Amino acid sequence: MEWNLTITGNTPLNPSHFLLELQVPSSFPPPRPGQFVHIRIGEPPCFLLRRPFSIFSFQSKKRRIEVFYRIVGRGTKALSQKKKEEKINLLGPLGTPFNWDTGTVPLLVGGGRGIAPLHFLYQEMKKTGIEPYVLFGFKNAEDTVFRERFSPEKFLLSTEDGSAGEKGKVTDVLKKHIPYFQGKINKIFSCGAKEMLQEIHLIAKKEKFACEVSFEQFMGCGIGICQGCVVKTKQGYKRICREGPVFNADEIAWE
Amino acid sequence: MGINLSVNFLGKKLTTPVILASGVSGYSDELIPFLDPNSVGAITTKTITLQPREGNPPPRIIEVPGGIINSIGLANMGVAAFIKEKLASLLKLPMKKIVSIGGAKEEEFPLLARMLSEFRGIDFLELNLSCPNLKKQKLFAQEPETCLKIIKNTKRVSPFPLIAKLSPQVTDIKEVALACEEGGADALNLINSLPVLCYYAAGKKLRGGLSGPPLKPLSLRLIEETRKVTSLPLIGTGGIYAGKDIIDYFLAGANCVSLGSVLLLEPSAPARIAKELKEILASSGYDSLSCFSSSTGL
Ligand SMILES: Cc1cc2nc3c(=O)[nH]c(=O)nc-3n(C[C@H](O)[C@H](O)[C@H](O)COP(=O)(O)OP(=O)(O)OC[C@H]3O[C@@H](n4cnc5c(N)ncnc54)[C@H](O)[C@@H]3O)c2cc1C
Ligand SMILES: Cc1cc2nc3c(=O)[nH]c(=O)nc-3n(C[C@H](O)[C@H](O)[C@H](O)COP(=O)(O)O)c2cc1C
Ligand code: FES
Repeated sequence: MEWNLTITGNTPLNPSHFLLELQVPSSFPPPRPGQFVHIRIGEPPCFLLRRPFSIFSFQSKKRRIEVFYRIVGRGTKALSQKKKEEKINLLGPLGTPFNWDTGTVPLLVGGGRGIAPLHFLYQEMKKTGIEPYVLFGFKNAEDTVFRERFSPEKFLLSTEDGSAGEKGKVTDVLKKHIPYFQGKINKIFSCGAKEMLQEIHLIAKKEKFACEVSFEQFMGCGIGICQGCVVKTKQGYKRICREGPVFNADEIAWE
Repeated sequence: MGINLSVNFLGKKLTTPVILASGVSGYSDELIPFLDPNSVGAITTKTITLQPREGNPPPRIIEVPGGIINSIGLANMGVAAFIKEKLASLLKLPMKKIVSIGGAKEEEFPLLARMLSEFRGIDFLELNLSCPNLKKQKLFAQEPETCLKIIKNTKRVSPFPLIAKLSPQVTDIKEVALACEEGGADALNLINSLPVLCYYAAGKKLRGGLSGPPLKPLSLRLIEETRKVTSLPLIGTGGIYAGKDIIDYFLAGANCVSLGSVLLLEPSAPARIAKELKEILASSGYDSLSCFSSSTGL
């Protein structure tokens, strides 16, 4: 579960978003969408905790995983400065993945960097013959990366400033388009800030769509030992790194 | 030259002086896949309480420059579930087993000890007198009289040797150490995390315990002072990230050490640290750790 991987690419997509590519050995367990890797950014005393990142894609033939990240602080800044050929230590794949079956007609709703696990989910669903609807929201046009990877007829884009796609918060755009999705989809998969996930759950509940959400909380160990990463559920606190990061939204005790 | 890292601790042989600290090893099951069992002398469970505790609301763990603040709030499954679900697999492990217990009230320590007493595969009990994340105004470890009483009453019912885990936030560590000794403690563990506060975002604060590198000089100083007044075995805890840190602890008067935060970053750290320790001994021409601890009666 602990790996020293070689960086095969660490490409800026715009000033704040990067795509990290890592070569994995054949013994690396095939990850499932929703799972994450826990990256050791640097050495103590500068870096004392790893940073968790969703798996953005896995190419089993090329034996490569990708991580899509946004610079938000010290750790992600240091990660963006790592060069091709450098080694990076990570734990993974970790956590509980998304669930779907052949009867699932999915809508994937993501905000900002929260699109990362949904991109992987999209790829894996397509492999099983499911073509998900997608709604992604970003701050502005500059952040709208990877839109060309999704079928245009099932892809909706929003930006908060209206510089690309529809103007507004992703949850407002979702509400507006609910009549379109009614009778089409039966499950929403989402990842992003907790407030956004809560709103999405409310919408899903009203429309009687099933709903799975993936949390992006700060973590300690990432492997279930420290209890540092919990979210409140109807059965008490659960660990995001073990029982999550993906939860059935009905299970969460939203505040 | 065969280098021997084993140490004698309260009459038992630990294969290395490296103990895994309470709270960073869970109940052992999740950490085991990462461990080389030969590198670990003993493992300490998360502090177990009489009732299950759900712990504090998130966020519970934050990195600050050079250190980690945690506010887990002693989240644990409670002693009954621990005995039913976790103890059997813990007792199968090859290293020595320390069960950490914590009471919300003084009377709970002996109760816990009694409930665990039939499980003779446990090697030691550690009394967590020093958790910084409880609502209680004062830590037990800040009241020498209370420490004495708790240990005395627990000693009466415990078939296991008792380790008292102490806090760095005290006026005079010597006084606390002596009270623990008088109460019948068999060993002392210095130190638990240090009560602190940080603002991790505008207006959002976390009160918790500081751990990691800044604790090492603090702990070394407290160990040195404690060593002046007692010959009890001392476990040195705080900011150990490398083999050389362990040597410092031995020089200050510790008899073994425990690893805390390093396990959050590097769950496989004990193997690396034991290897470093061997290399240090080899390069100094020593074949065992006793050379660094002549003053401590190892
Ligand atoms: C399962 C999972 C998957 C994730 N996937 C991705 C992904 O695919 N892409 C991506 O870009 N990000 C992802 N994240 C988020 C990512 O882990 C964080 O952005 C990263 O850890 C930030 O590290 P940093 O050192 O740059 O920021 P830091 O400097 O650690 O923090 C940034 C800011 O947050 C504050 N802060 C620190 N700790 C806390 C805390 N405990 N609670 C609240 N605020 C705090 C700091 O004070 C600082 O202002 C994921 C998180 C999880 C849990
Ligand atoms: C996440 C976390 C949880 C902890 N939980 C406990 C606990 O339950 N009981 C206890 O006695 N100490 C607990 N501690 C304290 C450690 O055992 C140790 O005393 C402290 O972290 C100092 O060591 P370090 O600097 O190596 O981390 C915890 C520490 C951390 C970081
Ligand atoms: S981060 Fe340690 S339990 Fe989840």
